[in-house]
Amino acid sequence: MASRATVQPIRDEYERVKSSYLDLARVVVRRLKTGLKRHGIQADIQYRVKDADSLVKKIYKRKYSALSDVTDLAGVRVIVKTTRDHKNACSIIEEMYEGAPVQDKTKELGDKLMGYRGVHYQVSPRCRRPALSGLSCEVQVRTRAEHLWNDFSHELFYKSDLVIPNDLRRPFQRLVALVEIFDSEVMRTMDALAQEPAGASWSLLQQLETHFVHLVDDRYDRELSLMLLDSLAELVQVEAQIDVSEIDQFVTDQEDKLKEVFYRQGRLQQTNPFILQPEAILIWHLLDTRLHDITAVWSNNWDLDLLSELATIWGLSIPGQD
Amino acid sequence: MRIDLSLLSVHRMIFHEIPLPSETEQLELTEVETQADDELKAFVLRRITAGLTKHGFDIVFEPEINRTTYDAVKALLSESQSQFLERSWDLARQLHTAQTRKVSPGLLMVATTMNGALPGTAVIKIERDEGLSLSAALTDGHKSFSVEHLKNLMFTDRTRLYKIAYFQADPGREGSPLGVHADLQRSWSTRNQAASEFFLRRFLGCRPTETPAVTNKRYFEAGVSFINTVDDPERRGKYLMDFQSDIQSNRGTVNPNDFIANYVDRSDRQRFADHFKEQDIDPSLTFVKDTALIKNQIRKAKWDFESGIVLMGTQDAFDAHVETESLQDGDLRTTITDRLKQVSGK
Repeated sequence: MASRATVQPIRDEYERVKSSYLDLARVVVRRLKTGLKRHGIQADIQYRVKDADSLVKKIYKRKYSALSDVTDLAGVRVIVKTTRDHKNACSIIEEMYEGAPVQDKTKELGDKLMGYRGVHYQVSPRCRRPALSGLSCEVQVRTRAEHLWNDFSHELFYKSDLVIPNDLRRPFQRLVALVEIFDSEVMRTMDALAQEPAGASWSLLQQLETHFVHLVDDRYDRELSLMLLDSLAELVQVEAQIDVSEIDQFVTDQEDKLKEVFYRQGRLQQTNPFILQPEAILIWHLLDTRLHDITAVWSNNWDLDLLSELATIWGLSIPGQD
Repeated sequence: MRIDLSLLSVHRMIFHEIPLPSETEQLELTEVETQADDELKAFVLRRITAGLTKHGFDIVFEPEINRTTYDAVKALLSESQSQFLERSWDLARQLHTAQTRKVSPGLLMVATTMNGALPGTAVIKIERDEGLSLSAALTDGHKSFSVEHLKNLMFTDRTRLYKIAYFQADPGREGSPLGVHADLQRSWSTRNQAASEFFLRRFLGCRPTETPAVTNKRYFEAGVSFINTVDDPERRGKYLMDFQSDIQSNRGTVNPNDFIANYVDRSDRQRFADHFKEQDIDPSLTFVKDTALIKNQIRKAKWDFESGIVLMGTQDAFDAHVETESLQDGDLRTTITDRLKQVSGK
């Protein structure tokens, strides 16, 4: 049984190594950001180290007898948009930290129960610093919907000692089901939209966003992206549909140049709204391969000077412009 | 070969005032380089890249014509830039010497650059431009504009009053640097030939990499071969006429993409550009106009007969398809052997 006499030494030990756990969390965050970015996955990554007072409470709750019993002294949370991103992020983490113990809450729930479905990994990254050697960090992977539910339910249900009455279990389960339905419907809608002719712009943007995240560490305006892609509709839709593999090949061939150009442009004040947007990748690809087509279509909706500037940045020029 | 300028950056720059040769006005060299902030460097970079990308053509040194510029550029590319000031003086003196009274005075800008990991040098002659600066004002309580006449403008968005030469080391090869040159004044008129030639030949000591007459011939033949594939005879005839007119115009340079954009229907443009690429001609590259090798193919002959019949065609076409026989009564029997394409106006 935990007592002040047993808890205080654990607390003191933790206070001595707490800064190492903080450094460990930062290392894990940095590597995850790089790994997810390389695969074009957008994620919100948060981290924290356990507060010493929280540690004491946890020791009493879980009856821990040593600091090594506590697995979440350092915690990193990866929050992704969709269940597809969730699955891909988990694959990437498993590849980065091969053999790391994993706790899949979905499998623990089984088919019948509904509840929190996150996946937790216990990772011990290889670090040069001796102080970090042997330390482990918990990495949680969730969708945004799961995160919202977890935050809310944690606040409402788990911090309380109250047992949920039977007549409130059903509404509780409905809330949990709502989260699962939300995630499921998001994926179904995205997949269906990609098959629609009018969804060609949206589908192409998904592809461009994946590359953009990989190349650039910056936010962008999605609404503007869709406006531009819709204005280039005759180049991206139906018979003239751009093969997504063309974009992939272009990015592969020009990766170094794209990274350098985006980096340089990111340091300048911009009056051209398209330079630091995912569609800049498409525009440069079209300038390389279908210069006259994009020039003709562009001028129907946008100032040709904007396209001219994009061309100059890429080392090209627009015909007919001086 | 096009030099990719997308990763170009400007580092150091210096300006020298270059008067025309005269007994009263001497060349006074700048003694300290310009302290350029990031905004100024970005501005200069935009001018350089926009000018070279749009109007630039490849050039090579001919050191036997002019060794001074060649040596100064080589030094700027290879040294640690401790001689930047002195090499810029060499170039300023060379420009001053090369100028005649037929060209306008101006400034010489010398800049060091990096294109990715490759050191480079930009040498630019800039002429002054004029403009008005307006600012809102109140005159006796009424809204008006205060106007200032500016005579010291240069390198503005719309100006064509500059010539750029950019050189960079040829990666993996010792020897003559790669060069590209843009003369915005020449691009617009062959009447500026003298000014263009002085800068390229006498000052830089360079020539276009490919002989312009050869490039023009390849361009012309590739263009005609595409036009002949156009099904619609009316469109085909229009393209051929425009193509021949364009190459005979007063413009001092040719840019295939510009011709396509200005004269070809939207539905044919990309195919025309792709056809040039298949013929090993980069349609985005500008080259100097020189029709020496295609004169017969573009020069038009026109025969007017008393009856009102008119025969028109290129000299080559006449030579190949028209036979004549002088008759005793003074008439000329003219025989055309060719395939009839179209009859209109019957």
